Amino acid sequence: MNKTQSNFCLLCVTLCWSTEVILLKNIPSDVPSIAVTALTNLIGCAILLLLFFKKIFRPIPKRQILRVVGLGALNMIYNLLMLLGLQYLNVSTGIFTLSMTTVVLPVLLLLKRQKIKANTWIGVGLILAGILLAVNLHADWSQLPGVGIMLVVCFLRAFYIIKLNETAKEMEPIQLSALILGVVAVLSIFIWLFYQPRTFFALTYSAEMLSSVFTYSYFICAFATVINIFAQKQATPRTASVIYSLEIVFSTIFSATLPDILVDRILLTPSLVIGCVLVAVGAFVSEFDFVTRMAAWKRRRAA
Amino acid sequence: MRKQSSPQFRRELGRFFLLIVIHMAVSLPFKVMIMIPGFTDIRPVTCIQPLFGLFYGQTGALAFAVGNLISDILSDSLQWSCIAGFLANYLYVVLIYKLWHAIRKKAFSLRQAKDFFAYIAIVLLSAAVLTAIITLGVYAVYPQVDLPTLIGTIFCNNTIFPVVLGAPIMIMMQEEFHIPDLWTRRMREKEEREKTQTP
Repeated sequence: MNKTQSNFCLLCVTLCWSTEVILLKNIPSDVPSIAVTALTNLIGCAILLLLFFKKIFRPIPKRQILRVVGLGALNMIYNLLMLLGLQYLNVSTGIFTLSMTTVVLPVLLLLKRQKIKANTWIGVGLILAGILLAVNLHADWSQLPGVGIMLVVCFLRAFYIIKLNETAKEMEPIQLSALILGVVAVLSIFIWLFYQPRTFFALTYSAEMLSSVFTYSYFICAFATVINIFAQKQATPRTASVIYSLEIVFSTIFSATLPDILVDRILLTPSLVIGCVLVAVGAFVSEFDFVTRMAAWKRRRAA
Repeated sequence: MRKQSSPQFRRELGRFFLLIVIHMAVSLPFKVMIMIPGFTDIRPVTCIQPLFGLFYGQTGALAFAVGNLISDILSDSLQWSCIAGFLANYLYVVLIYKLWHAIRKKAFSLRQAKDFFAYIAIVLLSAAVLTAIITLGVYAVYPQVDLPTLIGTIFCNNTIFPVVLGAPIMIMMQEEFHIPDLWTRRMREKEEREKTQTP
C-alpha cells in the first residue's frame, strides 16, 4: 500500500465513522451504550474470525498480547467516556470537541521529542479555530462538564492513535484488528454484566435495531478497524489524526442533508459552515508541506 | 453418455454461488433501512458491485444480479420493476469492468491519483446508466412514484458505497492479499496457454 492509497483508506475510514450519527439513530435510547459497544465489537470480531481464522490464530509473542490488551482497554475507556461526555453536549458540540484530538496529538508527539513541521502547526491552528468557532457559538455553561470529559477523551484517543500506529507497524493487521475488537467486546460484556445482569436477554430486539447493529458491526467495527490498521502501517499518527479530524465535516454534512428518517437533522448555521471549512483547510494545510515545496520550486526556478 | 463439465466451468460455477452467498451476507441485514418502501433502500451491498465486475467479470455480474433478485424475494419486495433492477445491476457490473479495460487499458489498480479519478468517473457513469434503467422500470409500473427521491437514492447508493467502501476493499485485496483482478488472471491464463502450445 502506498501513501496515496493509505491516505485514501484513512479518508474512507473517517467517512465510515461519521455515519455513526445515522446508525445510532435506529438504536432505541433505552439500549445502554455499553450494550451497543459489546454487541457491535463481538459481531465485528466474529466476522473477522469467520473470514480470517488462520491469520488470527497465528502464534503471537506475550509482549504483543499485553500491548493489544492495553490498546483494547484504552479504546473502550475513551469510547465510554465519549458516550458519557455526549450526554452533556448537543451532537455538533460533541463531535467538534472530539476533533480536538488533532490538536492534542502533535503536543503528545512533541512531548515524545518528535519533530513537528511548521505546516502541521499552521494546519492544527486552523483546525482549532474551526472547532472553537463552531463550539463557542453553540455551547452554554451546562455543557462545560461534557467539554471537560471530551478533552480527556481527546488525550486518550491521541495516545491510542500513537500506540496503534506503532503496533500496526509490527503486527499482522488483521490479527491486531480482531484482537482489539475481541478485547473491547470481552471488557464491555463484563461491564454490561454489572450494569444489566441479564445482558443479551435484557434487550428488546427489533428489525431496525438489529439492522443498525449489524451495519455498525460490519462497517464501523470490522471493516473500518481493518482498513484503518492496514493504512496506519504506512501513515504517521499525525497524518492519521489530521484525516480523522474531517469526521466532523462529514458528520455535519450528513446531519444537515440527509432526510429525517435517517438522521437527527441539525441546522446549518454560518458558524458551523465556517468551522467545517476551517477544519477542512487545516487538514489540507497540515498535509501539504509548503516550506519544502516552496524551497523545491525556488531551486527549480534558480536552475 | 453425459458430457463432463470442464474444470473451468465448474470453477466459475463455484465462484458464482460463493459470490451469491457473499451478496446475501452483505445485503440482507440492510433490508430494513427503507426510504421508499418496496423500491429502494440504503444499500451498502453496492460496495461489492465493482469488485464483482473487476475481479470476476461476467460471473460476478450475473452473481450480483441474481443475488439482488434473491434478496428482493427473501425480503418480500419482489415487484415487476425488479426485472429492470436485474438488468440494471447486471449491466452496471459489466460496464464497470468493460469501461476500466477500455479507458485504462491495463489491469485494475488504484495506485495513482489518475487511477482514482478514472475509477470515480467510471462509477459515476455506470451509476447514471443503472439509475436511468431502474427509474424507467419503476416509473412504467408505478407512475405515481416520487421520482427525485428515487433517482437520488439509487444514484447515491451506487456511487457513494462503491467509492467509499468498495475502493478500500479492492486496494486491500490487491495490495495485501495479492488477489489478481480479471485482467491479470486473463493475462496469466493466456500466457499459460501459450506455454503449453509451444513445443
